Amino acid sequence: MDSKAIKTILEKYWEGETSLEEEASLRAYFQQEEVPAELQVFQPMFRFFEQEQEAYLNGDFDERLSTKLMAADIQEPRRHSLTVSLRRVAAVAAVLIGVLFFVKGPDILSADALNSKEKAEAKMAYAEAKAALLLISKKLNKGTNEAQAGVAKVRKVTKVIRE
Amino acid sequence: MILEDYKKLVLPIKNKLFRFSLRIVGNVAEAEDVVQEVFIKVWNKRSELGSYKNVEAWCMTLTKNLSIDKLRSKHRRVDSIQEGFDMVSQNASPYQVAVTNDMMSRIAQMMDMLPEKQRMVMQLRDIEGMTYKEIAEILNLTLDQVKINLFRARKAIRAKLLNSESYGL
Repeated sequence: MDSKAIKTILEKYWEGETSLEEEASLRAYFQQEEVPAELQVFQPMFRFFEQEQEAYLNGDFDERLSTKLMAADIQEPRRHSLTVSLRRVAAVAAVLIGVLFFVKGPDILSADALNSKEKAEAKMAYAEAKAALLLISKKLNKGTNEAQAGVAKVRKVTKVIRE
Repeated sequence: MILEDYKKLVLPIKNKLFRFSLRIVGNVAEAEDVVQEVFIKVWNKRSELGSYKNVEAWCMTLTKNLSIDKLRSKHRRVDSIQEGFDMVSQNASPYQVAVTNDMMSRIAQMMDMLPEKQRMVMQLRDIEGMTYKEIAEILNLTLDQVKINLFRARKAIRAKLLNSESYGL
């Protein structure tokens, strides 16, 4: 392409009216060594655009990404089941509290209505509820630990595979 | 979707995402982190992949958002955009290499100084060769906004080039 045609395209370029093809022809034109003096000032810009298309990620990116994706894959469903079980625990607790109010009626709120036998029963119920909640919390912790152990195992395996 | 299929789908666009992020964050290591985060995010939402008709545009938008978040959390740009960019033709003389490097880094600096939107639009159009429509979709701008930002970016670089020439800088 001659420099006159290039100058016309260049004018359009500054006005933001060039097509993608015309912009490609500008980049191609400025790749050559011999450019008329009045156009030389714009040469580095178009060469820069051309050169910047060649910036690549490091070679080991794919490998590192695979490891991360596999780890993300294992964490995901476990995390999900943990939130579901937490929701279940909360729902059951809500129902129990509701039933308690329904059976005992408003009496449960007044301390005077409780005789010593009921007080003892309440204490026992409290202890049992506490033990049950502790058990649940222990199980939940165990679940998290297992999930973490699983992730660690996968990391180990990928490391071995890579080596 | 299995991992292998996913990688076949997204890995071809990794370098484009990397360059776009690099233009925003200005740091190779952080741009790499952004691309990785984007691919993990999309992988975790792979069940929605069917509903996004253009995976590339989706990834590019995520790249833009994560890069800008990264930049905002940093408050300042630590490294120059130049690191990792010293590709010069093999048969150039040492003098030519120096001159070319110098000119290239000057253009990089000029682009670096553009306002964020102008810089992003210029990256996507003049380097990645995208259509105005694609750019508008990725950056969530109207076609007119894309065109005006590109026009201003080119005008600013042109003024700087002409200016540096007349002062012999």
